Amino acid sequence: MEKQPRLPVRLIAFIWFGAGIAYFAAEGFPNMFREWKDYAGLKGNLQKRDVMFPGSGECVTVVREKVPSGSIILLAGEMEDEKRVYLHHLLDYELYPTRTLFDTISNPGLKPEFTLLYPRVPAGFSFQNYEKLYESPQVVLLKNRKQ
Amino acid sequence: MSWLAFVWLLLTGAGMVHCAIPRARLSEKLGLAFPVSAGVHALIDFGLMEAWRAQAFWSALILSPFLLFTVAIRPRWNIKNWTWKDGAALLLIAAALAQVWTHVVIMPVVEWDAISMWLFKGKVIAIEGKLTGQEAVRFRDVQPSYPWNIPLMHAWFGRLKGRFSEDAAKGIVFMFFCSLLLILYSSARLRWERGSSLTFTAAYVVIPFALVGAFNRDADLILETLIAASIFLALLLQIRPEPRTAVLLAVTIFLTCWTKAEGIAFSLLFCAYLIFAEFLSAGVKKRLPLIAALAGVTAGIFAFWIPKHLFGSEAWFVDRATIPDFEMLPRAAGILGVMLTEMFNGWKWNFAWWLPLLLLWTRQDPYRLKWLFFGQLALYFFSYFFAPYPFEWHMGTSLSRVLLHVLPALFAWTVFAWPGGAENRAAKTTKP
Repeated sequence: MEKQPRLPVRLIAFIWFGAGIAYFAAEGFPNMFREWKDYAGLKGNLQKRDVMFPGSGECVTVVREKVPSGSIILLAGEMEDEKRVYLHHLLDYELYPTRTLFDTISNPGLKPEFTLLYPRVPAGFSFQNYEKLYESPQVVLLKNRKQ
Repeated sequence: MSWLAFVWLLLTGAGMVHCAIPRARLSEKLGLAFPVSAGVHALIDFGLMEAWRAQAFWSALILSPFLLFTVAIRPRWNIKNWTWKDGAALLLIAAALAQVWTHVVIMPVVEWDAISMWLFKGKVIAIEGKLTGQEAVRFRDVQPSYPWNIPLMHAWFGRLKGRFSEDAAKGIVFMFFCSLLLILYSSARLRWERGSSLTFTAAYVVIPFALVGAFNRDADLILETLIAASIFLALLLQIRPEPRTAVLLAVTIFLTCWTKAEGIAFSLLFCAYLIFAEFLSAGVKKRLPLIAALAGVTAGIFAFWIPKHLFGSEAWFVDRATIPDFEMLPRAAGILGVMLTEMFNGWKWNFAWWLPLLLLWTRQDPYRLKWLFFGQLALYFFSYFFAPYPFEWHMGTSLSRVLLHVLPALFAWTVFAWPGGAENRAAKTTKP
């Protein structure tokens, strides 16, 4: 019968568990305690979330607000197309099933951290003519919020 | 209400598993209970959607007889002969569970895939009560043809509670992690005694690559649990070939297909492996597992095609795949390089793949399972190769997650590949 190679089991176990416990001490537990500190008090109805864009590692903090049904949200500022898509999906999820409309405008003149929230949809509005919002006296800029 | 729903799923699941494998240990029953029960509830929910608005209630009612079987489960506790090593292993497992609980349950969901692919679909179904083409328009950018197990699990909780609950969705992921650990422990118990099995389970949770992977609320942890469950049941069938166990295997294979597209690929590969096992002189008692796998994968593909047909969505990957030529050889080398770096770079705290590699050297593989895992890794390689994206970007977004799909099952395989042991020699049968 062919002789099987013997494995240095104790050495493997020492390296394996040593590396694992070192990770727990160096990163695992410090991260866990930080998360507890940041989020444990917000148990249940969390009001904000940091959404990470896939691949880039960049984050945007989305603040959950009670939005009146039938509002418009415009995320203004210069933004890459890819990020626009991510934000749209996020708002799709957050705002469903309210009749809130949203879109993102890429306007280098506006600071990217501004979120424009309009309380209701003006007559004849479409996202193709969003510039009209600035001319319309009925529209109120409800909030500027840092992302 | 969420807690009650979780207990309900766990108990009905334990009843289902007890029906299929009455002689199994408590850890085996509890490990398989939640994944099986949650998936079956979601499936029945899907079937009843068009008929009743209160489908979550009806699906629970239909499966309620399984509660009766839980009465027959007799847990045996023997804590007198526990050693300090058992305690240390349990401590490490508890430390890992605390970390996963914090990141999965306490933290808000931040992963884009989890939000747009799974939670959003679950929320829409929970609120609308059904799944129609009109709703699918909302999913236009998030792969409407994708398998529906996870959104339907979310929707089941939502329909039962009367409102969609993100906390329930997070709880599902944590329950799957607990199930995964119990399945790993149960796999080890097929060969080893309690202490070694606990150490083995602890050895999995101290792999940072695997633990951090469990923090993700995407579908990958759920898929890896179902793949590990399928491999565990296939191993159990080699030891105790019973038709009822094969039925449970068919269910887990079906749920694997119905969770992610990679699950369909794995299940098809699993069928191919069972067919070729005899040619590999593996001595696999393949009839029951093969029938179960074929039944599961057929039902899984059928369930995949129904919503796909309903929404008329394109098979985007097939339609847009690139045609290979010799100029793409550097691409293949690049993909291979990134994969190997991800798998074997110790500085990324990833030592998960070293042990299986080391055990290949010992030439112990009674069921030739290594070919199955090689096949799945090759599948990922070719997916990146043919995908119409720059491979660096594509692999950066998904490689660390997809590598986890087979990791727990591969880890369970190491129990059987470990040299020595009477059971291992007994299992290594030869073709007459």
